[in-house]
Amino acid sequence: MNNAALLPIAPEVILLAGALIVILLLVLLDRPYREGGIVAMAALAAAAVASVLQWQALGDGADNLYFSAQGVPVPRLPMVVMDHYSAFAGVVIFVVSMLGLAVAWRLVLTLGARSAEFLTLVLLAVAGLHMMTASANMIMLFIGLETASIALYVLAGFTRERANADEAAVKYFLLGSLASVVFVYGAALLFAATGSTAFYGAGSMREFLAENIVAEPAILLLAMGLVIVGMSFKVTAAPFHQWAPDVYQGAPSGIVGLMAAGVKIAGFAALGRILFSALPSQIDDWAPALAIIAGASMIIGTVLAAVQDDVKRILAYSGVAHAGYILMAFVAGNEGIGSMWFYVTTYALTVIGVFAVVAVVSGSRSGSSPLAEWSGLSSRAPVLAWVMLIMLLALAGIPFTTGFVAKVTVFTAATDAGYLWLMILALVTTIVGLYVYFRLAAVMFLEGPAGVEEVVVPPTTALVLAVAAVTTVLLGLLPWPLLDLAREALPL
Amino acid sequence: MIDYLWVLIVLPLLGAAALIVFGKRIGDPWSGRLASALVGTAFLIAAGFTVPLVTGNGHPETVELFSWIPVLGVEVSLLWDPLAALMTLIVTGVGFLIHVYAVGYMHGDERFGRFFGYMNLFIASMLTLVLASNFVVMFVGWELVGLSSYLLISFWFVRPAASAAGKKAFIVNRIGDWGFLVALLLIFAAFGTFEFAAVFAEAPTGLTTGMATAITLLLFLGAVGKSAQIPLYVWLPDAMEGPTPVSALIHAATMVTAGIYMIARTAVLFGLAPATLTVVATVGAATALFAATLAMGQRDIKRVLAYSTISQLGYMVMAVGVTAFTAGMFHLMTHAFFKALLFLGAGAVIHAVAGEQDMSRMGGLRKVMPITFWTMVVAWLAIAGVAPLSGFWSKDEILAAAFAHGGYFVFLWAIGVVAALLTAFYMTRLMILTFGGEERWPDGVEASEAPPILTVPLVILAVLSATAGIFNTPFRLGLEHFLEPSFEGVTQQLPPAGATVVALAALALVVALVGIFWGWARYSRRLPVEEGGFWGAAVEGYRVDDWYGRLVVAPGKAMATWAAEILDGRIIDGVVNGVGGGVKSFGNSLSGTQSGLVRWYGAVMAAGTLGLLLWLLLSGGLF
Amino acid sequence: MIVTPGWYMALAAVLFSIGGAGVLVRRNALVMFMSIELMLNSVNLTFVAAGTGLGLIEGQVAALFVIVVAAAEVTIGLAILVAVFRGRATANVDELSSLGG
Repeated sequence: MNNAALLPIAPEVILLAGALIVILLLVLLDRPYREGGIVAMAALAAAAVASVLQWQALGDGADNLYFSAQGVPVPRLPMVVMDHYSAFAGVVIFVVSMLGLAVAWRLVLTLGARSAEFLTLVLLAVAGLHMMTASANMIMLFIGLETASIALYVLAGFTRERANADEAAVKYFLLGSLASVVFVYGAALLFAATGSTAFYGAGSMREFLAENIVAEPAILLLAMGLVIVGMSFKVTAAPFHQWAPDVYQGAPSGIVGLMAAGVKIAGFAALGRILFSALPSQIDDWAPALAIIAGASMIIGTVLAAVQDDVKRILAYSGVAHAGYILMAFVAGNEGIGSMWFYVTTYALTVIGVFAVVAVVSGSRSGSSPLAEWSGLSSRAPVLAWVMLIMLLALAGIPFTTGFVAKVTVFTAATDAGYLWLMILALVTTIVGLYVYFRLAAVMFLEGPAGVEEVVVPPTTALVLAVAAVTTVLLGLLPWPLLDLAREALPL
Repeated sequence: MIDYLWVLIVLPLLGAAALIVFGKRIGDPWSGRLASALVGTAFLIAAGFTVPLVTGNGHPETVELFSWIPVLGVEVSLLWDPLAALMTLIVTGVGFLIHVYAVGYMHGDERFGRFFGYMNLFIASMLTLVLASNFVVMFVGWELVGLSSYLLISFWFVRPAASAAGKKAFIVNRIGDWGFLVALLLIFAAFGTFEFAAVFAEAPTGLTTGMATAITLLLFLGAVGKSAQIPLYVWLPDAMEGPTPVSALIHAATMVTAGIYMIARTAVLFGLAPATLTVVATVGAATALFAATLAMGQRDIKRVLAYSTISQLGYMVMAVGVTAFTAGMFHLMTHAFFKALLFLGAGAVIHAVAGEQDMSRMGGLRKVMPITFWTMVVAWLAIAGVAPLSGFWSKDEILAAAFAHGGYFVFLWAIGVVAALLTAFYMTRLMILTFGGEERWPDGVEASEAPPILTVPLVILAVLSATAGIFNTPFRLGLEHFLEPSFEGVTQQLPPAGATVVALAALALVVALVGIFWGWARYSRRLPVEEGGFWGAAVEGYRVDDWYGRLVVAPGKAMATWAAEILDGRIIDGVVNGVGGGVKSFGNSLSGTQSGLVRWYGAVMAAGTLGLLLWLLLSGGLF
Repeated sequence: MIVTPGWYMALAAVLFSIGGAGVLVRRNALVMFMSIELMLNSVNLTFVAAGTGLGLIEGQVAALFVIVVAAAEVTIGLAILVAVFRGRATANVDELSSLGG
């Protein structure tokens, strides 16, 4: 039994080292902006490799629980868990972050001396996001959540010269802190109800709930509700979504993709960790609550996306609706984990691609992206418009794209779990949602061009778009490799 | 051999991919020739596959390609049976002729290559729909034909009307598609599979009447959208904004018949739901009559044909509603020939008079365009139902079947007869206004006969329109026998035998001749003034669009906006912004009561949290 | 009367509610933030009270971590608020509403 091994925390260590090197470079070299970016990129790549190694080590029978208070014979109060769930989350988060950083490349180069801060914050945020998925303890999870959130608050307002940016940062900060407090209060009440903050090991929440009758069921219910609310905020599920459109609109376009996709992956993974690992016995209580949140998210996200005039806001509300669809997988309990992973992964790839296009069309520093700027994109930049169309089709859930397969899997998961009403509701909102994406496509393809200036796609962004579009179609046609992996990525 | 069935779909698909990407480079006319050649080849291959089915040596076959969504047991597999063969031959055959015609018609268009790319895409999609062996693949084809139809309607997107028509078709069809989707869901819930064979085998024993009625009604909703029946027909007349070959191919001969095909394909399910069948037949008969009255009043030649198509589709729907599936498919085939011919002829006429579509500005084209005129005469007599042309046989079979169905359906038969009378009338009106009388062309137009590339397809279609009746006359039920394997286990309504059928046929013929005579008497000498009253209402389509706008669209929009404002808490903001700058100071003084955004968001979060907690406690039984 | 840990937890709940109300009714971003800090401290109180009641050290350990996280949040939060105040000379969140729609 190797209690304090390096491998389980290797991704975090690598990212922190990368962050330190980026800052050091600023002292050692003259204008090391590009070099800093390369270091950050390398750190993310190394972290992804570390996650792959974790997956392989698990196949060879590596231990799952680390950094326990007492290691022998049964671990008590482990802090870090290394399982297929966390390894899969790691690979997805790091790859998506690399893509997100590639989109932000231009932004990084124009930031000058502040680029080191920017890159450091990105690396810390990503480390926090992964920590959320690999923690074996509520408090660890909370620390990961805050590490990521605090870095993201700053990133949201990073382009200071624009007035909207600081407004986005303040909103994100105030509401995000509120959600964090709600979450940690839930953790405290869970501790009060079960006598543990640990998910695994001797005396963990799961063990307690499996073996005892809770003395104060009301406190347990309140705790679960608060934890769900806290995480719902992070994944922009309704009615805790209202920050998202404003923050996406105010934050620099170059980084919104990373914010939107990364936080969703980690948020869902963390929610899944808590519900599937710590509270599986309470599924009859939390599943209906999630179903209601899912339904509300689909309706509110879809309806509000239909009336927006800014592409970033449309995408934000579309994200709310998609959060609802992903939550559908949760109501199926363990059976839904594979669907959840598939949906989250493919959605994240698509979202990165979509926001990359936004960054090209409206500029990577800018905030808003009014529909008018998109008019006639197909004649100004046909390839870009087609790539965007592919991704819109995926968001809409049209067959032969990942979006369709993802929707089918979560819909079946919910139906199998007996939530037929939720599935039918999802179906209706999906069809209404077609209008949302179709409207944007129509603006791009059917209206006259908005201007004559050439649309320049930076090479790094082009690469990201190629990856996003190819995976969207390829995994839509041949989903099994990813589906099989996703089904294997179960929490301990 | 039949393992290569997928080639039929792949050929036009390759063409579509090549032409959408390289269309500009390949250019005019080679992109058109390439597209036509691919569709022609597909037709020949399909004909080859059909031979064993005709000689009786073949039997329906399922060709499995690959497993697509293994979890749900969804396979991508194709089905080759007489019904699919018939549709494939119509789609590729008529499609090929229209492609050839379009090479001439679209000559000189800026996006010539792109056009043929879309046309090939449509053929590939339609073949996917037709050849599907399960509901999922069929639905994929169903959606893809919708997409290509949308692309082609709004092909001339610089015209606002074309772009709007494309959107309208898309949105109206979504309503139908929603029905189709939910039906798929129920089918999966009831049978646990999407495969046609498995579903149809299990349906007679495993399906309650209630479930069968629900499924078939939802399927029918899909058909109503795609086949332009009341109340969702409104998109089809507007779809005439597309280029004329598109109207001929998609909005007359093939795509709009997908609904009829789908009902015929799922005949087993419909057979289990008598209530649905009554609805289907009623909607069909009502559409046939309603659209015929609208066709009478149109001045735009293409809109006459559009409403005529809706009316004829109504006949087909009525046919499947009285379980005369073969009759429905038969009329589908003959209609594909003569309606494609009418549209292509109309296209030639429109070309000749420099894009004018108003029939009151045509006239006297008979002498100038003899080939177009005589081919159109064939189509006119065929659609009017004059023996022995094809339309007579197919329409008569439908009406006879409705009559034989008895009871309430005799009333529908009567409606069908009245619609037949109106059909003969408005087609005569179209012919005389266009070709007869004196020249009323716009100034400076020198009309002349169309070039051979346009007229050759017309002549071929005219021959088919005249003779296609022989496939299924009461004396020789060829199509009936051919389609038998596809309708195994389905009880079909056959036309009555003996003297009754002869009497009905004679009556139909008389009605057609009366209609023609009525039109002749009204239009042959002078142009009557057709304004106000019925004519004014008909030109405006009885203002149905307007009413839809008021009753459905506007409240829907208002609700969405209202919901948006309530949910986003910006009512006050909206008021402040709306009242404008002058009142801004007033708004500022009100800011004490106006909730700030961050705090409003916080309040919604808090309310949501409290609501969730309360609900958890309540459902946990702790309150 | 014996003051059991349950009473402390009830007090924490009251503090949490007061903090929540403060976030909702105050307009000054700084005061809103202070209210959030109050809520965080009620969380600490809950942890410590529950830990004492259960006889577990973990409650107090958790509270320490929450305090550290809160400190980090304060630094960033104040920095953001100062940046806003510099640009707009106001800390009234109601005036931060250019985004939305």
